[in-house]
Amino acid sequence: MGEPRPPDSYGDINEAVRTEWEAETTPAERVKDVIRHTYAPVTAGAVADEAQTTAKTARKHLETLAEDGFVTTTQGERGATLYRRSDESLITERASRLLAEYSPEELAARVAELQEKLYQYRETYGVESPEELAVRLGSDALDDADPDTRLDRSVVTEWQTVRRNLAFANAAVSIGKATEHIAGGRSSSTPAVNSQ
Amino acid sequence: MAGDDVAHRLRGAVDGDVLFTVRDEFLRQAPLATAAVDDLVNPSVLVVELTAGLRDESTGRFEIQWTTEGDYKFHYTEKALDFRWGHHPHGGDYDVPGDAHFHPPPNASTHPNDVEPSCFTVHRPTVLTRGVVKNWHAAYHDGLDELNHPRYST
Repeated sequence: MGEPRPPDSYGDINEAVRTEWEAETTPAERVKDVIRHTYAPVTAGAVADEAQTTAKTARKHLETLAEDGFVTTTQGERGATLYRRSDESLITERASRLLAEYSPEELAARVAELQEKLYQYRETYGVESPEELAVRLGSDALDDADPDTRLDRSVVTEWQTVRRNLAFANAAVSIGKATEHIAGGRSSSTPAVNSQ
Repeated sequence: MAGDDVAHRLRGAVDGDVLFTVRDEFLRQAPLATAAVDDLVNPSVLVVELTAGLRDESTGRFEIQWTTEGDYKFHYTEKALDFRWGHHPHGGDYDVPGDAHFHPPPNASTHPNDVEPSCFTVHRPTVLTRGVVKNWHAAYHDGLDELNHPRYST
């Protein structure tokens, strides 16, 4: 940032950004970009609008992404195929990210730490889940308007975030251990099935 | 986050994968910036450090959160200057069209009279990040009045 040259004039920043994005990317890249963080099922037409391409082109790329496991398909009410990012690919992508930086043993230590965090949330707030805490905060907020004593709702988001990241880290540990096991079996003279 | 008393308005878990997407897009659009999530294993916020600020002899930073429910915050801080774009599709917290809003400088005010509708109407990580960088650039060259303005002329 802080380039010497000012940006080109624009009449509407949203249109300007979309035009640039379209010029710098292929339809396949845009379809993948849109579906990457689409977790609720949508039609190919909806993806096409966001990806600035035709429904036909969007469908073609979504079908390819479904074959690759990046996308999950379901049937909509009127028989239309609906698309969303697949959970499996979210999990394996996160696992690859984590295993590129940490060993399964290091990750297992972080898993234990995050589990302890969840335990502390339950102990501190006396509820079993962040959703339960959200309900309680909703009713307490009416009784207790003092901002110093009122519990901040951000705890709910923090708790939900730890829970989600713990699920990913757990999967990464399992995938990492399985990978080590399979790789070990391949390189060792002893067949992996007999090694343990 | 600095000057932030509306963290409670975010709904849902922070979506670490969106933070990685935004990080990568920031680095494409602003190659000199540094961008990193707070914790790779338990990502909860993306911090982008810029090499310049909107005022002289200052450097700025964005702190970004985005949830699985599609809520987001792009909070900007530099010396004595804060502003923030937010989007809370489930909230209806502010009386602005479309639930996307802007807390203006200098202190990212949360007072209902100060909060403005957001200039951004496309709420996807890559496209929004491009918009934020573009608008920051406009303000860098022509002053803070350009912030959150959909139109820009040199």
